[in-house]
Amino acid sequence: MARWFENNGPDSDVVISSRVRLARNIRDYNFSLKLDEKSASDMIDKTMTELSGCAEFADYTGYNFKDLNEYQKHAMEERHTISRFLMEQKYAAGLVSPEEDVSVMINEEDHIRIQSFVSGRDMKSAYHKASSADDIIGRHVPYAYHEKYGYLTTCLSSVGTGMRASYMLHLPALSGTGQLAGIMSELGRFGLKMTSVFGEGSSSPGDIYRISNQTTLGLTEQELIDNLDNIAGQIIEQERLGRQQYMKLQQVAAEDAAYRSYGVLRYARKLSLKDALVLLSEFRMGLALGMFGDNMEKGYSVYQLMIGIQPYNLQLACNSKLELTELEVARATFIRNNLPQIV
Amino acid sequence: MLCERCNEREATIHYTELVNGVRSEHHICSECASKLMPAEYGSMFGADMPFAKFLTGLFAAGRADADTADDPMAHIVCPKCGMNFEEFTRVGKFGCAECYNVFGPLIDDNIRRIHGSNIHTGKKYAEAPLADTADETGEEEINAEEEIDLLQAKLKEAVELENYEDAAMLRDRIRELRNGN
Ligand SMILES: [Zn+2]
Ligand SMILES: [Zn+2]
Repeated sequence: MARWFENNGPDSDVVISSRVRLARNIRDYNFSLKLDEKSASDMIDKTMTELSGCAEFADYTGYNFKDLNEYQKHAMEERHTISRFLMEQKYAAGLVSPEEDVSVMINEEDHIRIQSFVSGRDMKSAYHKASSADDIIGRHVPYAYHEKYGYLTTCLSSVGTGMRASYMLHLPALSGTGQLAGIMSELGRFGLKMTSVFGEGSSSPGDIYRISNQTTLGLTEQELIDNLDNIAGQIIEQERLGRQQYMKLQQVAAEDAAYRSYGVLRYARKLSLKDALVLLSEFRMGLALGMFGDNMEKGYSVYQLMIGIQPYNLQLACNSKLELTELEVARATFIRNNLPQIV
Repeated sequence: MLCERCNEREATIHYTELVNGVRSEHHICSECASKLMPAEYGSMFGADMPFAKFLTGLFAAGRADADTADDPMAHIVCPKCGMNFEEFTRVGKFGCAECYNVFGPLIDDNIRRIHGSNIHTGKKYAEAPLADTADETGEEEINAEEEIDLLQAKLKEAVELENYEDAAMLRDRIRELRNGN
């Protein structure tokens, strides 16, 4: 069965995915900051027992950190199945849907984090999936909920709806022309924030960015999503304009860059993560602009390669610990085996 | 629709803004959007300031001269998890659900500054009724009485803290309960 990142959804030329996360706490346990190890284990076990018994989660895979090695945990984090925060927890457990599009994390910064992914731009479906899981869980464990403040969270920055909705966007044109810094600095006034998915600070190999709501209280989930979607829509349009400009003014250079990137991806014998992400970004934009014509497999998701080449997923696929050079060789091989052919 | 600022260009950005609990719809063009002065709460997020620092900063500014020993705030402790006010402002996180009742009223202004509001309007949570008490009407009446008592205590506290917005909400809820929901 195809996982969410192996498909393309609406507006996939720019939008990779729509994600919703809901933060929930269980009423009777202290929150993570004041939860001792014994109570945490107790909370995890009881919650897992409750949820594993739900018919609605019957086809989900349950996991417990007690049974996972470091590679498995890191690989899940690289595929966005679990958060970085959860990965670094000593005790944690959770449930994952067969397509890895819905994930329930237990003992995150909040007791329960429900997460859903949909390919492309479709926040309505993403919210619906997360909210349905939330309804089920809320019937089995009593949530910490306040008449005035709504869903109570460890951080004041998530209280109310407890919802963080985000789009993952591919923005090579805006980032390449230096327009992104300006856009990022303006997002705060709309209660939104943009961060880079791969890399830190100003460097963002792969040009993949996440835009999400920062405020969670006072507006309804629908209003928060509408705000995010409207602003994201603006950014998507600007990215498309930027790409069209690039094609209009420098068509030869643009095609050359996309085909050169494809060539290196196809024939390189070792690749660093950063180089591979940069090349895949060029290739992805070329594909979206139709440079590879109709012969290139339609609806191919380049993002699955961006996930597959992450260090822990590669090591998990090879079933062994790899040194840096071995990792770079494995990365080039993985890309070669999975890159679509130009006929 | 025309942009509300320049009345010339087509409005392409539509968003709902909340400032101090007041909701307003905006329709602006992208040119005007880039000239907009940052809204107060917006700028909080523009800078990558962690909440803990933000909260600590606010309190430190107002209490720089306060002698901790005599400071009445220092004695506020959450009865459930043991979090005290000093720790709360230092880490900027809540220790349990009860913390919201203990520290919530003290930071209402900050909540509004961060979110633009201090009242949840989204999805509501109703805990599933327990099978054995659901159909016992007698028990429900007792629960309503108990809730009214609790709400009245909260109302008293809200009035003392001059938190009139909360007080009004509590008063409405008590009235609802008295009229049999
Ligand atoms: Zn205008
Ligand atoms: Zn507490």
